[in-house]
Amino acid sequence: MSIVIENCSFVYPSSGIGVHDVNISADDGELVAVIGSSGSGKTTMLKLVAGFEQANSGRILINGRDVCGVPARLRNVGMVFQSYALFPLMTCAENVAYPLKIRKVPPAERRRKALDMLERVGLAAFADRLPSSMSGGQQQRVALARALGFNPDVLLLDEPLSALDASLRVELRREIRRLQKEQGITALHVTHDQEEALSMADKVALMHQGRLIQIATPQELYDRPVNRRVAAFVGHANLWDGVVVDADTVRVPFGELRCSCSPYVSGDKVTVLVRPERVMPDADGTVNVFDGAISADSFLGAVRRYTFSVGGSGIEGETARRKPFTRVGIPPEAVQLLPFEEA
Amino acid sequence: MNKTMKIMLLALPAFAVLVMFFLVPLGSVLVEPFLDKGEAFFGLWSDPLFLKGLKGSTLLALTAGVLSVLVGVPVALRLSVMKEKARLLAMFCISLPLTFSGLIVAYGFILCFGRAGFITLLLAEVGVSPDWVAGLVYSPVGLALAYCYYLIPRVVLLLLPALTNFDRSLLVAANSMGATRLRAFFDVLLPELMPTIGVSFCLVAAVAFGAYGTALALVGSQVNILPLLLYSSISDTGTNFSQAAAISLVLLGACSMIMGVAEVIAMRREQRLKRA
Amino acid sequence: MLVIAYLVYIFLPIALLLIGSFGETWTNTFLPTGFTLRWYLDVWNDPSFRRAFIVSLEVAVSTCVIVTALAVPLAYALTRSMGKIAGLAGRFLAIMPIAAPPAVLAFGYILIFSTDAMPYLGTTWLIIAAHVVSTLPYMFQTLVADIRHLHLDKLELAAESLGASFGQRFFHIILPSLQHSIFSGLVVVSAISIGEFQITNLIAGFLNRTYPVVLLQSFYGATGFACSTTMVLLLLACASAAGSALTARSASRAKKH
Repeated sequence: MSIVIENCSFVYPSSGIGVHDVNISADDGELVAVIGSSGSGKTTMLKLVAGFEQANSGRILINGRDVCGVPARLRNVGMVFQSYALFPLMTCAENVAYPLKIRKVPPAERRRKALDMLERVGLAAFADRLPSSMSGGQQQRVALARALGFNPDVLLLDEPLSALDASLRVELRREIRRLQKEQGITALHVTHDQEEALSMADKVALMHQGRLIQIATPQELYDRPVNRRVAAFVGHANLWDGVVVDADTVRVPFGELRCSCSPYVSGDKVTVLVRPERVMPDADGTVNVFDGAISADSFLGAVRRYTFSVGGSGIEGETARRKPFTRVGIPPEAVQLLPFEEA
Repeated sequence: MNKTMKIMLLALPAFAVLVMFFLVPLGSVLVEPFLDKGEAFFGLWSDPLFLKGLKGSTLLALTAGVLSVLVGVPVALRLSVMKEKARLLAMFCISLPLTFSGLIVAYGFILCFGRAGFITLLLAEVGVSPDWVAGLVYSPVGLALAYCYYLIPRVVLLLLPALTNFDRSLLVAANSMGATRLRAFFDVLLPELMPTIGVSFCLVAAVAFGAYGTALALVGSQVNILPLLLYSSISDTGTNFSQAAAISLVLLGACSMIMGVAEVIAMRREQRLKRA
Repeated sequence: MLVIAYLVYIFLPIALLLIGSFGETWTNTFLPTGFTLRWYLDVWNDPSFRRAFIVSLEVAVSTCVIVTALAVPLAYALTRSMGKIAGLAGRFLAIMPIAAPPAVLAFGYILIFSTDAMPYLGTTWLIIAAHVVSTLPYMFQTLVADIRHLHLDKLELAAESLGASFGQRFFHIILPSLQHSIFSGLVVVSAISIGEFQITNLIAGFLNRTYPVVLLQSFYGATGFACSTTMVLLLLACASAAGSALTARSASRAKKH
């Protein structure tokens, strides 16, 4: 089972916004997270795959079958909604059994399957309760059981965790991932929470203003962002305007940094990226070492996040070190050059 | 045919009924005065009976509006701070009159304020002339009192959601800044309520302007208000259709205008909320 | 204190009606003298009141059926397609019963339905049509509020993604979810229909006058008789209102569980 989105475009007739020429693919058993700020088009992509909207151009293939023009109810996709969307007048078991009822599974068998699914999300004891008597986390588990219980071809997750408390969210991330792997089902997961995407997904697609900016593994997206926007959206980042001086020097507002500048050449304007955890406090040596003072300091438990001021500019850093320091170093291999973009 | 069109088809039967039994009849009323080139319509404005009726209806609408708001606002305020159970019970009692026929109200008022009514006789004990009471009750102002019986619940029902949605910590905040409770009410709560009060005033005024049932039952067709004038020109022998149509036009215009004002107030409030 | 004073204002006329309906004679005294059930027997034995009572019930029941059949699809359609037309139609429905005074609407009926093409004036069906038009907005508003409150659009999307066709969604999800609001809307509709006087009085024929129309005649007779005829109407209205409150409560209970 796979999902392939090919050159998909869609524009809402009323507002004129939409998605443009998007290509995303999820291979068999993969979980692909689609992230982006609100209005980036990520939810629209999901609606196109689910069949709630029909693409204006391009193709969507589910398991090799072109589903364009196929109504949502015939696409055989399991969907989990942000608002749970459990039917309030049906018990949990009835909710989970509902898609089986639609598919004309006999009552006894669908009850058995529903109980089995509820068992797998740890809610067998709640089978005959109404959804409204349960907590948000439990309701979302039921919704997950309902979305998976009828052996859909693919699983679509529409911000499934954003209505939940922070502590529950982490727990449910694992749960969703576990069930998805157990079933070996291909999943598309839309979220605005980049941490959620990085921790769960095999691949992450970042969208902005209706366009796909980058799709890559979580590590690659973090380590090799294609541009300033990806670098800023995923994790924390120092982003400075810079000018290439020579093959291994770039000038930033607070001085010059040694790094590998290829493929840029002398005189090119670039955006310079350094992740905060790569900034070394009390660094030895003479390469990329800067003297200054800590101007902002917040203790976050495992790490301490600080701003280090060098001649009017700030370097964001993260460290486990508790002692004060007056010098930081930036290893040349930690410096990445991205195409120049205004902040 | 696309999906939206199919869904809109579901609305078609209801639209058809509304067109046939609401728009077409009203349309015919609107057309009628033009059949005699507006002669009856322009004639109205020199007819003393009509002018008296217009004056009476206006007085009735304004009095009913002001009275309903003056009673409705404090009642709604009190209800909004009551406990849930007590509030539901009180709400049930208060909304009872809404489902009553105007006739029930009318006869109830005759028993209370009629020439030999309960309250009239009570007041007579303390020296208030029964004739004065009866005279008041059977005037447009008195009619307003009877109308209030089922208009106040409308005001309360409209205001209560606005009040229960109101963030009471704003009043506490105003208090903490040194405002007295009364001051906080006028500076913080009242401006918030004003649009809803305006809408409910328009609503009850329009109802009072257009209704005739209670008035007919209370005083017959003798009191001078426009809907009763229309009623008698339709139902009396020697039906005067052109005059009826002309009066209908005035009634329809006035009530629609008042409701239009209410719509504008409601829309402006919505826009303000959207921007915030 | 204020609420209690207001409740007295509401209940005093009703209490007097109740007392008066059992009173033997009531002329120029605070309260009636003597106790009798005579007035209620008189109402029961009066053929015109009995006929009117039956007409009223017939009209109310027909109105309820037709209003439900019209309002449910209408409310569903207008909440599903949030276009400009739908919004305008909703607003129009909200203000129409007040913007068009009943006497004016009745006059329109007299003009249109006394023509040779449509000679329906004085028929029971025209009375029902008038009641349908004047109660439809209330049912519509109750339904729309509930559809929004229950987020039915989301539930329907979910059902669609699970494979349910339009018919399945309508009968499995939408109708069951709306049953409470349909019922409480119906009670308001029937209460209004039973009490409606202003339009019916002008368009009813002699033999299909509804209860309120006949009731008005009794106001000119004996106080006790007028009180008991009015009480009959009031009890009908109260029964409806109580039913509405009870359904609303059981609905809110069902939601809590």
